[in-house]
Amino acid sequence: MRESTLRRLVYATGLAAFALLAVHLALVFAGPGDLTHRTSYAYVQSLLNNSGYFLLLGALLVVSLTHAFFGLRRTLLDANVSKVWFQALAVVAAVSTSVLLYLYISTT
Amino acid sequence: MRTVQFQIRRSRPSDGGEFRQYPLEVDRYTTVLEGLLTIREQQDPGLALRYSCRMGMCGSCGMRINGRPALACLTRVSTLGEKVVVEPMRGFGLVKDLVPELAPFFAKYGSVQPTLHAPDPVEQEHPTSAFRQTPAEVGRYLQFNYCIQCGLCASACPISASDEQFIGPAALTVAYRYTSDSRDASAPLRLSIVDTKHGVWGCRVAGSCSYVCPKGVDPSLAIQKLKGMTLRPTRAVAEAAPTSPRDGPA
Ligand code: FES
Repeated sequence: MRESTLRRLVYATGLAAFALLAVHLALVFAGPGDLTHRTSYAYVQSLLNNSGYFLLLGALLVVSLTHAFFGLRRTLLDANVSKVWFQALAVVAAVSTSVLLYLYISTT
Repeated sequence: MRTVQFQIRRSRPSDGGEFRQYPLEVDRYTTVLEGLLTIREQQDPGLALRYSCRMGMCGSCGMRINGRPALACLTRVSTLGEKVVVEPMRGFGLVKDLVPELAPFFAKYGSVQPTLHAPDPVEQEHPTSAFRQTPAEVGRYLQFNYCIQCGLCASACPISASDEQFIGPAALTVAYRYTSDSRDASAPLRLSIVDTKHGVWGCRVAGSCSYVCPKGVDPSLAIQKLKGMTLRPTRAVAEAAPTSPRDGPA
């Protein structure tokens, strides 16, 4: 894959994470009642019953992890490490994203 | 006239080198290159340095002067204080003393196809009419055309120092220069060469290349423009397309 394609992914996931986070924070801070209420277990649970919000948080998890792993890749590039490190990073990124996504889906 | 101390690094590739001191009488117009040549003539005939034009055109006399990459022929001693520390450029191998090994630098320079590739190769070899350019078309690449391949930008670049595969600011600048030329037709090829982690994407915009360029070229700008071209190659090709007809009014 061309480096510019990877760079497009970095930009896209960064922008997406920013937008999704903004929506998430808006819901937390601009919802009904005080902040204690809006961050209570019952309220968050009720929000997660909304499929739109559930998808939003899932998407936020995926794009922020993808963006973060691209950042780690850049750090490895700067460190001039061997190819094995990048292969290991790809495996760690795929496994950890899958596991976290599975945990998110199965526990909510 | 006043006397300054030249401190020159004398070394060979095989040893760590050492600084040697040379007192020298200079006036306010004496350049570092003139100082070095006088030292070689009067004090140390074994001193090795590279130079040619003595007027900032050939790019041969790049070295580190008081810690900063500069052309010896364009640097006046009067601007440097009482001590003049002269070392070979960083980031290159060494032939001897102040002479850097520039073969890898020119190999990278050549790797980006730094020549015009006309759409029609036959027409390129046997042109039938003039290929005029508008001032705007020339303006797109003109400042990047002033590069004299002295290597100061590469010597100042922290990425070139840490990643020896990095193509480097000079080569990327010339890649942009030809890619943005309306007479050139090999933008896709050239962009594919520089669109790598050791190409334009290796640059972290330190900007030191632009800071040290003796000809006022801005390699950092060229690299950022190339990044934009790799992200939007179709637009890049369209923008570099000629706006004036062949042989039409300039
Ligand atoms: S001798 Fe030619 S640039 Fe200095």
